[in-house]
Amino acid sequence: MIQLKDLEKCYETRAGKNYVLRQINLDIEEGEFITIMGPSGAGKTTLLNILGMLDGGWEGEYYLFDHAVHDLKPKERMALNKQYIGFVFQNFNLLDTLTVYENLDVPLSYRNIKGSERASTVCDTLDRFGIVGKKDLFPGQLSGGQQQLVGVARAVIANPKLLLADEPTGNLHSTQGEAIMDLFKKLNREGTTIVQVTHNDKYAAYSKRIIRLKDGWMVKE
Amino acid sequence: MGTLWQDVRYGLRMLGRSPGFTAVAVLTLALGIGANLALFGILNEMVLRPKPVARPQELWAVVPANAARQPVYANLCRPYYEAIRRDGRVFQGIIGYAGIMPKLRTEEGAERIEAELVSGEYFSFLGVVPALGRGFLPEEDGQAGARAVAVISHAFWCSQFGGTPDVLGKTVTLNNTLVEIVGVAPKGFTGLGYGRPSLWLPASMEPMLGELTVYQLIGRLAEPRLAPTAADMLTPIAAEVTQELSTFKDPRWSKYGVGPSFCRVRLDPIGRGVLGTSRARPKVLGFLQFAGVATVLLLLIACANVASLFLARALQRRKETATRIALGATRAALVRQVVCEGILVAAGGTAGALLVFSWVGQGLMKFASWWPGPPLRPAADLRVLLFAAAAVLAVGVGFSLLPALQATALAPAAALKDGAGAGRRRSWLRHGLIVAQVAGSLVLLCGATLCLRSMSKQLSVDLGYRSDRLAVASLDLERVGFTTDTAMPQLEEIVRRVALVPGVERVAVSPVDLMGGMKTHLYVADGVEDHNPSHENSVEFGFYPRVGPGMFGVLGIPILRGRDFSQEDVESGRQIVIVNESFARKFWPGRDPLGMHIRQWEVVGVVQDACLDRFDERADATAFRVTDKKSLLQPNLLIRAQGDARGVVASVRAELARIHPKLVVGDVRTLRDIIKNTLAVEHAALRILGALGVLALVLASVGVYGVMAYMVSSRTREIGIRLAVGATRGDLLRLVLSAGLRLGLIAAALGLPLALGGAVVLRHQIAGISPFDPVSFLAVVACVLAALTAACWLPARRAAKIDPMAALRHE
Repeated sequence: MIQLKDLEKCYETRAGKNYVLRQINLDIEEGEFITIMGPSGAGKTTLLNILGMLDGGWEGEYYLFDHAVHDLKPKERMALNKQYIGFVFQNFNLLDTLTVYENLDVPLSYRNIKGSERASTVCDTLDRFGIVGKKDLFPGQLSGGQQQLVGVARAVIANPKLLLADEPTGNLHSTQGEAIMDLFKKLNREGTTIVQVTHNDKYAAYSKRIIRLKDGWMVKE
Repeated sequence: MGTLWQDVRYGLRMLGRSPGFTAVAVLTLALGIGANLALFGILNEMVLRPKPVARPQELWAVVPANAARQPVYANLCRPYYEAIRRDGRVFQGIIGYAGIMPKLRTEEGAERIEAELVSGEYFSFLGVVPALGRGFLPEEDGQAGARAVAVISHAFWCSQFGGTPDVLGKTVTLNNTLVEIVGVAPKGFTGLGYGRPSLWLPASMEPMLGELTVYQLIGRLAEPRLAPTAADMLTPIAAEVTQELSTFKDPRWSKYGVGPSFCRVRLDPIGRGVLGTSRARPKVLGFLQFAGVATVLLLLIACANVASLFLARALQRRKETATRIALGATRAALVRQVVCEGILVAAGGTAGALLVFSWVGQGLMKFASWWPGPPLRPAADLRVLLFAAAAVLAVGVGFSLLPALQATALAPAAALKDGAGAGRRRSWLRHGLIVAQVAGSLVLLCGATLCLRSMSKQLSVDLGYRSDRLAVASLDLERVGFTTDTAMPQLEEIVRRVALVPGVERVAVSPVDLMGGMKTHLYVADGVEDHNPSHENSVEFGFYPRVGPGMFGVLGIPILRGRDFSQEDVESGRQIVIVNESFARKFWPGRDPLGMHIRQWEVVGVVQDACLDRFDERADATAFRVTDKKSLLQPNLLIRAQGDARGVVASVRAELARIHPKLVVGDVRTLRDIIKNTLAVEHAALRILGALGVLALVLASVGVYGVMAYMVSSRTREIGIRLAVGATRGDLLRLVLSAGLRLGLIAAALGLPLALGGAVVLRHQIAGISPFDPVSFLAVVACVLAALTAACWLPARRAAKIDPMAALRHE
């Protein structure tokens, strides 16, 4: 599904190039559940953002299915993002001014889906994640766990093949964290490929494979 | 459509969540859009709204013009109408109408009302069907004085007859003539001019009413493209009539005089707006041009102001924008969302502007003190609504597009990581918007200052007498029941009583309108004793106004030779004149004018040249005739004060009101105010540019304050570090003030060339000073920089008071 070949990312500074990722070679099969671990500044989030097409300016080769992402223009990469990828953020990034229902509707509205079809999908998702009762509440009215539940629901509502999660449990207490990880496990069983970043060994154990980064290098798999 | 509706709903919610931001943005735009909407409303009333007549687009006015085809004043009397109608080749029908002010007999005396003498086919030609009764019959305009009939206006019908249907057949008395009412005009029809005539009379009644009838001639042309050809065909016809009238053989038309430069005809469309071919047209269009430039500039400043608000808000929402990108939003969708919010704010501003549209329009018209018609009340019709809709789109997209493009040009990964944080480009844009606002206000204020200094210079011109000690009151003795026989003793009593008012030095009455500006009675200077025209074909004109005894003394115009007019001269109706120096020099150089004759009038005195008709032109050759008793029924009371005339205006007004509450027409005014009124366009421009300039500067100052406050807030940590490494409070004050003043100096550098360009546009309205008057420009720059310093002061003080420990903990 994903193939990275000699992927590198650096920033130009006065002192020269400052690499944040070095010679990353990685294959991810469809249906995998992968955890990226490493100390702060190791390049975990950068790698995740590159996988999610949110970060440009890297070198190397990146294949997503049959698409050579490295050859694509930014607009084409965003189209791929829309087609295949869902995001879960550490700090949820729900839109504060929208209700739970509307937050779930946002990704669908960017995919030219008819209104009636969107309404039906949102209702199904609310039901699937057990948050029907929260649909008219605003994010500020939810607990952290509930917010992340909505965040995951929003990430998967457009049926992405790949779910990228950047420390999804970082702002949650342990019970909530476990619930989210159970949910990821379930999504993975249902066929969604998941790549998560975490510092927590316990949550890393939910995945099938762990990739460790240090100073931008992949040190261990 | 669903997406659009979703954008609208989301936009409304976002705006609702920031009521302070929304209120400021909507009010700022309401100000800018409101001024433009009101101005468009006036433009609509004056030149765009079709008149309520049949096929208004076919109506063309015959306008006297000079060799350069510029409109000139000429008294078009009935022979012109007859000649064009007889010719019959040019128009598919022609009508003539003339505004008159006959006296309507009332219970108390007589009152002047607006009326129009019209050619017989007036109503049928215009396709106006009377609401009641009929229009005029052909025979009613056939022979002079055939039948005294009138069609009254709907408003007159309601006010004088209570709107009862039995009005037909009733009579009114006009200029002592009994006139029968035969019809009532439909509601909304007020003729073709800007006046609001109370009634229409057949032109054949002219001799009966004894009115001077200056025609407006209107013809129908099926094709607009025929207008130039038609005008060329009309020119020789008019020239022939002028030639005939120049002989002054026919006593019926000799009183109309001849326009000295009228040698061509031009055709102007007249089917739209109340302005028609009014003499006020150039002034009105000049005013609208001024006001248009100023209001558009104000709108641009308001847009820049709201754009900087939107940009600041967009920065706060960077993380949301990045999240949306991560969720699949395209840049177009994000831009559309911000622009949608912009359009909603513009719609709110426009809705607010529409609510007070008529009121603002009337307010704007108060600047136009020269407007001769009744007060305009701009109404919101389809054109105004379309203009409003266009304003919503143009303004909404205009001010939000740039912030939208800037706000969405971000790297989502970075934005998701650190949220806010302005980039260098955004800072540049925010500062650019502030600079644009300051530069715009500088342009407006430079225009206002130029007008102010120009007016001041013009008003200090030497008139030949002291204008600051003179006041004038227009009286109407006829209105309060006096006649030619009874008015003189009453006038003497008025003069006696007003002269006793404290502070009044001398008083006189005279029919002449000081600074009236219209030499409507230009006479061919024939019959000047011992004078032979210098060239055989040249025509020389004289200006023969009527004046009362004592006028020269009150004005302080020295009598160089001979004597002034006396009361006895008026009573006995002596045929005497007093000439001015220019007249004596022009017609009798090197000779003693006393005892000479102009026609039957004997010269009894010579006065020093003085500007009585226009303050900005040298005195013409003028022969002042002694007034007759009839002219003193509506005289001007001239009051010379011991000091500044403004000091006596209120007490003179009170004394006249004690004599009779309805004696004064209009108000008691100082001559200086009357002169100011003749500078109406300049004065209006000054007031509009001044008001809008100050408003713009306030907006810009608020914008500068916002930017500086934002700068202080976003650099709190940096300020803490500076303090920690030894910066003093004074250093921090200087840091913020210099940042604000730097923006001001950039704005001055950009605004001054624009202001100089504006001065080129204004140059025709500026006299007495150079359009590039350095004093004006430097004064405005100093004023703007002072305002900006004031705007930066609070943020600067806040920066200076920051606690370094707290600042270092600041994120």
